[in-house]
Amino acid sequence: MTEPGLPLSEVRVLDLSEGIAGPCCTKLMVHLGADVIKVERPALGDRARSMPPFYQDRPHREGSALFLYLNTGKRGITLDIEDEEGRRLLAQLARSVQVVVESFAPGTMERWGLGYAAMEAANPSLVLASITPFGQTGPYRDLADSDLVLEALSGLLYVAGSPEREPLKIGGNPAYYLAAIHAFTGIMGALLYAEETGVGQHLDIALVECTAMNSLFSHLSYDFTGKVLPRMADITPVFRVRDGYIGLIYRPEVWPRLCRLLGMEELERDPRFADARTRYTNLPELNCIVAEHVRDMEKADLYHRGQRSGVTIGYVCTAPDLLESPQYKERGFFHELDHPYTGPLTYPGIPWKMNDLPLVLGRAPLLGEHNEDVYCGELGVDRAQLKQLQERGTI
Amino acid sequence: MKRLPLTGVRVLDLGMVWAGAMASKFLADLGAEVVKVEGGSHPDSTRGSWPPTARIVYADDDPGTDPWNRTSLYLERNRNKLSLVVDLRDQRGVQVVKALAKVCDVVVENFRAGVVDRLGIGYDSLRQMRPDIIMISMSSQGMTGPEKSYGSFGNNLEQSGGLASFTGYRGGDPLSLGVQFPDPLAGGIAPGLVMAALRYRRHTGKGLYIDLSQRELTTYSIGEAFMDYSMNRRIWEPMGNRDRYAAPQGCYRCRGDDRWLAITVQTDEQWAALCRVIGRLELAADPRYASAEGRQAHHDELDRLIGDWAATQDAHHAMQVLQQEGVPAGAALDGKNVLEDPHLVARDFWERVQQRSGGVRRHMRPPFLLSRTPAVTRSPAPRFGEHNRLILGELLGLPEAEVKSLEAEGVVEDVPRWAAEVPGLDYRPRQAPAQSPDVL
Repeated sequence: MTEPGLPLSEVRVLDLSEGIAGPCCTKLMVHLGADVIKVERPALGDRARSMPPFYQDRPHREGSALFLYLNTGKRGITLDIEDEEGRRLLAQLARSVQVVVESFAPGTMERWGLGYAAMEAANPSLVLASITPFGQTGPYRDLADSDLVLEALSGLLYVAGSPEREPLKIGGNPAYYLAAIHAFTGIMGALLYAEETGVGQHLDIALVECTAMNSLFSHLSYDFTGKVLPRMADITPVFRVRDGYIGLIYRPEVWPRLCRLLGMEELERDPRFADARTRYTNLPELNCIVAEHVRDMEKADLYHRGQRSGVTIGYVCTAPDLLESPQYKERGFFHELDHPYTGPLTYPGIPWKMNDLPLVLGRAPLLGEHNEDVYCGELGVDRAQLKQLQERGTI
Repeated sequence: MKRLPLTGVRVLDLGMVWAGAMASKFLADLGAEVVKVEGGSHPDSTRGSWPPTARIVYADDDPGTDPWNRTSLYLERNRNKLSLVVDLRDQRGVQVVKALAKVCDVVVENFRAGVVDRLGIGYDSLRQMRPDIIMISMSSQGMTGPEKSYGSFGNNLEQSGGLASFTGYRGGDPLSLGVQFPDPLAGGIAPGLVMAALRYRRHTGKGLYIDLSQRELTTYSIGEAFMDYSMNRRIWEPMGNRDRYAAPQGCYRCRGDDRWLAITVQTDEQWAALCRVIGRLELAADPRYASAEGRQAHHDELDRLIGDWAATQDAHHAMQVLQQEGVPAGAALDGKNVLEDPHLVARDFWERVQQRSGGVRRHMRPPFLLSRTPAVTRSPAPRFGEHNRLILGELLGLPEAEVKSLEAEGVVEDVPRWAAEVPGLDYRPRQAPAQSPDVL
């Protein structure tokens, strides 16, 4: 059910997507009050259910970190799309929603008779978002992806890392999260348009293009000057300190303050580092000197003292650091959610506030948890039929 | 003009640099009328300053006579917008911006927390004049909490948001890669949140204030790493290009100068296919490598074997061969390759736009392709102050005499203040002095 009084109240979303990008996109819509019905394959469920890490490192379909995190607040039903009766139910569901999100290989929905043309005929204001690695068209549309491969083909990987070493990926799954966010924004645009005009549309979201949003320095350099940009990690150095790491950036406007913060006033007078250009030329030396000097300092102390004196500085937070962050605590960023399989666990919360609206963050659904709710309560399937469908493996 | 999703929506854009300017760019792409406000003494830093710095790239390496209108980052992030240059340190300038806010639906800003309040254009002030205004603040830490006044660049957010702690070469220290991942994350989500707020206004008649924390958003994008700690008390560390589960995975050097190929093996079938492609069928039969766990345990060995093969290969060709066999693989494209990539070209990802100054340049279209309301460049990024008179005169209805007086007294300008302060430059610089990087 949608939450009243929220930005996406009365918006129903049918989420057929799997993995990270699509589910994260609809998770964002849940926060804003949408009713997201997540459709999973019977028995197996979303493939994120079988992706590690797992609760207590034991593989279990209700214990996947990714699944539990990315599907907060959704209702979960099962349905076999390969089955004709399953597809009939799905088409019926698709008539009752404003948004459908899917991440099947290009052409799959059409093969099932569930392509945009068919869905539009039944529900003209429907917004259908297809989120795939390389999009619905183009020579790579059927290629296989991974986060590393997407970073490579978007131009991001080549410029990331140290110039003396191999290109280096950003940790985690950045390509998928970038795609989730851009898909969300595209859907919001199409939804506003559909509500105003009664006309829906099909969104083609390619992960590789979303990832390219982060590599623009590289293509801009070549397009504007014909120069290929090299890797550039050296300009954003991270230094080991006594209890962890800190990150600096030698902006000219804070250079004197930074020298004082580090207790290295002598650097200010050193001709090797007199201005931005010499600091750049002598960067390896400068980084060595700073590294030696900060070794025995403390990360949080340096971070707070630096920021309070107007120096932009970061400290490298690990998960327990984040949990202990006074800033996150005061903003109430982390939330405890109870779950029948894992019990209560701490989750990252919602990274924005909207006045004092009660944004939504509930636990992820168990596999098929809301079958009765949705099929009997909303689609008019009676209990005997539901049982039959379950026995046949459709649900 | 064709109706777009945000046709009829006006945005006061105080967003600067990357995240802020990107957020309002997407709103403009979707049809909003976006008025970008800068100050004569506070131009968007992507327009550069004098002397030019390394991160600032001019069209054809030529600063021309108006360098501030020719920089790559500025032109990329400000298409489809209008430009108003007004001094916010002057009370008359603040009055102009307030008058503008009154006829706007949305305000976007990414100053440090507290700055807009000090200027008298914070949400509470604007709401007095226009109760249904929607405002988004894209600050580093959010607008509340003990660190609310702290600033950051993308690399600092990677660090304090947790991402850097497991980014880095294997066995090495955490790294910031120099690519500022948190910026496009914030610039990408902000327009979606603004549109959700527009829907809220449509249904309730009420405005909203959106307080987006870029640091929290960075942590949001590493949910599974945090959950692993929450569930198993495991703290993630840098592991280079390897995956925690799929193996092998790596970025392997190929034939040629600085050419690289990314490969991921996610299943046993893909492993067998990789062995076929590299001509080492015996590896596929080796029980040590039969499972992902086994391949993970022998990852160094496998890297050597794959690396030996890759070193003899052309990266693009090897990618095609592996992909034909179903193995995820991709050449690491540099700035030239990505502009020429047949896939992106076929999808019209690069749009050629005639700039006001700086020739024809390629822009990325938005990564959400809408079938009925495709976003196109309706106008290139505006010159500094290009629409001063249009906005002051036609939109706000100021009398001509007042506009002239604001111009004469330097409250409204069309040349950055720094240009006037460089001796001998006379607003007409031709030769760029040696470059120095702005990040140092």
